Amino acid sequence: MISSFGYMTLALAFLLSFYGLVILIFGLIQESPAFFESARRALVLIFPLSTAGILVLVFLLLTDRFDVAYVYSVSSREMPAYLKLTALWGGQEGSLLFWSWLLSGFSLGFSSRKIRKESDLFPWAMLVAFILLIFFLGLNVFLATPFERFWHFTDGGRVLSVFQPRNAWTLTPGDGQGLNPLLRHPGMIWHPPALYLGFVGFLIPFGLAAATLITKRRDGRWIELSRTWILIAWVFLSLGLVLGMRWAYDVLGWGGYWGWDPVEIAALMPWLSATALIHTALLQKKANGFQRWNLSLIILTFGLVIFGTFITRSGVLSSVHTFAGSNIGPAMFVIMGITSIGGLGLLIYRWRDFGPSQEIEFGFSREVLTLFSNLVLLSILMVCFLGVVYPIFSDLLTGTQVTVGPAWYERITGPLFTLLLSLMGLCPLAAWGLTRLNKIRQGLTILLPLSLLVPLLIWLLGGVNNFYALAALWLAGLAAIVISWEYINAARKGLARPDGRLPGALWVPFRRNHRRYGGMLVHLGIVLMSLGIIGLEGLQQETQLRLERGESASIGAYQYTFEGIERFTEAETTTTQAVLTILYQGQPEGALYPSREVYSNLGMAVTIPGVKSNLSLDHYAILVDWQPELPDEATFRIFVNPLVNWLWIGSGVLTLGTIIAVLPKSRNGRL
Amino acid sequence: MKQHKLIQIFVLSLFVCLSLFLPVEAVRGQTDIPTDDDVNRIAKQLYCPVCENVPLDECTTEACQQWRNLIRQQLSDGWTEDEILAYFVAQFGDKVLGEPPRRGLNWVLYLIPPLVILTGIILLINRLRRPKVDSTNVEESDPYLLQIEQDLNERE
Repeated sequence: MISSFGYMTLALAFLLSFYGLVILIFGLIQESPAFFESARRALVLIFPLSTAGILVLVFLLLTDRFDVAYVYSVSSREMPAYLKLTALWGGQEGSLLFWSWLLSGFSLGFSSRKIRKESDLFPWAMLVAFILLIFFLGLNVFLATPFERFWHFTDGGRVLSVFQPRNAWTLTPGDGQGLNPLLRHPGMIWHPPALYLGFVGFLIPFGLAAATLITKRRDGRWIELSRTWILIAWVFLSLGLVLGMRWAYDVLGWGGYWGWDPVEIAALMPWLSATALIHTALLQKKANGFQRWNLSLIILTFGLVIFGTFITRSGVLSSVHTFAGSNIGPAMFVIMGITSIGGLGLLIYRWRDFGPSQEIEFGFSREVLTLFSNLVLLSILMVCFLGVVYPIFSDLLTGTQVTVGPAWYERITGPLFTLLLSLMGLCPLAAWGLTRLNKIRQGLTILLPLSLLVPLLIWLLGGVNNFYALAALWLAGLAAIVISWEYINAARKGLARPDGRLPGALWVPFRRNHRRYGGMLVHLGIVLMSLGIIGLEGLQQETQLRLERGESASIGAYQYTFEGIERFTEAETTTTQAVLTILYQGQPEGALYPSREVYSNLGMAVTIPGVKSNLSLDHYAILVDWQPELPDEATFRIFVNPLVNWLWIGSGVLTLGTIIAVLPKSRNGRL
Repeated sequence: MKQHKLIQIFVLSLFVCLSLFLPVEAVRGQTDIPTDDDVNRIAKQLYCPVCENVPLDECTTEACQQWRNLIRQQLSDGWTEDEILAYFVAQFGDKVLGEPPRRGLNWVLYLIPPLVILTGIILLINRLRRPKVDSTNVEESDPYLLQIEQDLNERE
């Protein structure tokens, strides 16, 4: 049977990774490259095998093979094909297989010519890949296989098994349970894969760092080889986070995008340490130091990736992201222990071999500002970690259960994010080495007053009075202006050349130094995203009211009128949709359609907000309560969310900037 | 000297930012007939005692609806915000509060972050080398050298 075939491919991939590890260890003992080559071939072969495994599962999902327990639990006949496909990562077993498949894919990177050329690092880096592959493929084969089928015996007994037990017959349910309604959203296509790509993408930098520590190689080659991989993993992690925010905003229906849920934090933490690493990796190149620091950061990042996977997949926490009834917790705990203790142990063991960093002079320089930004990023990381683990400690030490909610995180991290924003504004002004103050003064005398116009205009025209929001908007404005100023200066030089003309000159800065200007574009993306965050955190307005048909609620100059409600049933889903028209100073500005979907077969309800967006704000309404007995009355919660669209636009700019920064250079060092 | 001034301003602004850690007093004052917004303002600070990780103002379960009605009742009976919060804590424990109260071990949550950050700043500044006197201002006004520096920056 096809599902048994899928299982066999995974079992074979598992055996091959075991073989690879053994042969590699032999090779390392015998110092024989022939063994390394054999291990490398095994590594290369694992990818097509796991691909075959995943394709079999996709086939089973698309063809409604409900005799397979996994397909039964996450899919159903009425689900559209794209959702059936995404059901691949909609449950525990499938998502773990997807994880292993990505791991085997990224492992191919170790086989690349560039890494193979480093004959000392190469076998040790492969060793790391094999250990992780054995673990994750082992989970797919032994503990959480997606290929188990339902069987029944003639005496009525039932069993779950991959292969046909003696005297048993397949049992095929008529339909599957279907995907959790909260997961039935286009976000399901992109959010999990992006996040997983971001997580697993750190495999290569981590493997190279471990190999560097083992071989005591001090020339920093690992960071050069890792640079592109770090940036690719980072941008996927960023996109995964933003797509998750968008999904929460569209579906979870509380008017926000980030609830400081432990699982969200688990994904944010490696992002913070990886962001710190991207910055200090530059210092390693410029100041020829920070080896220990960078090695620590990559080990921390990968440790946090495994910690994040442990939290989401082990069932230790209850959240919208976790799957119930997990039995892989102890196994996940073991791999978390191996990676973090192994990484940390290596780091401590080799600490002295990687020498102290070169001294950096205190003053207004890019080096110092980079170090301060590192400090702030890691402080936010520490706050996140404290918030996640504190409830456990409080329970253990005092027996008091506490909740660490958004209010605490926002209070503590708010000033730190503000500090980060101001560092982003200052940094482009500073050069490597100490900056002459005259240069900054010239810049600041123009840019500082210009930036003050931002909060002033928002205050006068937008009627915003919140001091903190205005201050944050000023810092965001300053950062955006400084970045644009740097870019315009560089583009003007392109224009001054004899062949320089628009729009070609706009590309000149990127062509001459794509890493620097790509990086600046990423910063601009973050600044734009911060506008959305400031808008939602500082300027959001809301009201909740029970309205009769024809009645209105008001927020500022906006008036929302309840026009009526419609109810329709499609298959097992009953949708109740209300219509609210928006008036701004008496002028119509469109309508909102908040709804509530009830899935009678699953006994679940989902609240879908009605949203109307433009660049300056979103109207966002939720249908809180409506009873069929009183069809002309309903309770609504309505939000005005200023600037929120810039959060999504900024993430696009950030992606573009990262793509420019990782583009390969031609021989003359230009794009 | 100017360099030092800049650093002083930077450190000072850092402290201003850190001062935002200080507690903010809760909003008080209710009208006679409590609105949904009055109820939500309080429910926002509480977590659903039965569903994990869901604030009380967002929770759609029947039980939470009743708790919100209870808050409405308490408000119309003239209870203050603090009294209502204290009532929920007495009923369900500290777990219902979205932000842990500042007492006992919970002080760890409020003291450790600023302490770690301050220690980080002090350690970082100590690790950095003291600047040499006047090492930076020698050729400050030489346009030729400025141009070279600018060109070098662009070549990075």
